[in-house]
Amino acid sequence: MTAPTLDQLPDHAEVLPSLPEVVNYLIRALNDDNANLETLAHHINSDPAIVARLLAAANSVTAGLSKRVHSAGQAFLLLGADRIANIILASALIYRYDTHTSGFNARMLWQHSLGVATCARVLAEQTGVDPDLAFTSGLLHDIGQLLMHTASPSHFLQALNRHLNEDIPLFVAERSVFGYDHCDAGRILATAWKLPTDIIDAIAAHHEPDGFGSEIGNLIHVSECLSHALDLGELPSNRVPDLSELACANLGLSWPKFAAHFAEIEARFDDFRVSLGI
Amino acid sequence: MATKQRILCLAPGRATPGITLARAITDREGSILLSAGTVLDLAMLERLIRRGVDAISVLVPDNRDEATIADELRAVQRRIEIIFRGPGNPARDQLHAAVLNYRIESTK
Repeated sequence: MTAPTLDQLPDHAEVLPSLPEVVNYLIRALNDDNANLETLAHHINSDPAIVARLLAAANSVTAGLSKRVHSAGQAFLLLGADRIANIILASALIYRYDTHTSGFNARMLWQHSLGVATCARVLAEQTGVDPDLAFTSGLLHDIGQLLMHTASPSHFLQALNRHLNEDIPLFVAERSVFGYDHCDAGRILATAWKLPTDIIDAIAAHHEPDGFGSEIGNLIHVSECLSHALDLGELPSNRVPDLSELACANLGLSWPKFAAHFAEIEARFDDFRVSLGI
Repeated sequence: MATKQRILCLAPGRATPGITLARAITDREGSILLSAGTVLDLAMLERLIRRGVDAISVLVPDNRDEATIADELRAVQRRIEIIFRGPGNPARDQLHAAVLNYRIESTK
């Protein structure tokens, strides 16, 4: 059987569960000055599963203090809206798209995505890019893999095996099997989900950003490489991808200088990963 | 003999009261919130979380002997060589050098 074509992917996108409502709200809030805490709290409180995960995460964040957080309100007061938004966004995505089949474990994808999101937030704070946009784009950058796996699990596993056995980048292995890669597939899924243009650009550009001229695309590409370089939740077969000189130059990045933030990135990633239980 | 210590970076919620700051904590404007050497109590740690401080550097006892440290150094250098295998370019090489230096310094 041949692999599904790029033109067929929008039909497969409809098979994937839609984005959780709270994720849609948080993504829309990125570009909305009128978004407020009350509406976010309403979205959270209307879903008991989200409240439960928020409290579990909040109690984990404060584990060393022996202080229990009993309500979403307490969590807001202690952790602040930004941290709450990050926890909700990540946990809602992880639990909604939690595919486990032999050879493909979505938890690994989300662990890597959390690493990229953490790098992206810290890089954004240092380079003047919107940190919330950076974090969200980092979390969503590999959603194309979910779509390709949904569209044809056997072809996706074939690409994964080729990636591991031949020690070639996954996107190169995907092209050899499907004729396109998860950046292309991610662009299609992000468009079907009506995500903002910036996030679509970040997803499409994250492996080969030079042709896109997108600031957020450059940032997510560099975050991808940094997450691999710091081994954030990566597999034993981890390998740092090719890093675009142009993307680094456009962001004004100097690695010897930015290295001062490596320990902070690792601490934030570990805290997040433990809080989310992944 | 004084116990040897090393610096660890962690989220304030993961620290326990009584731990000592290795480096000063500053706010976004660069003003010092707490100076190096401060022994953190419960109220201070909670304030740091509320202020949105994501990571702090603290001192922890270091019970490793020289042989253990040498083994750890070899292991981290080996791991860096593995994950940076394959051809590079000046940007990737600069990242490689920065991560290697960071790993060596934080393992010593």
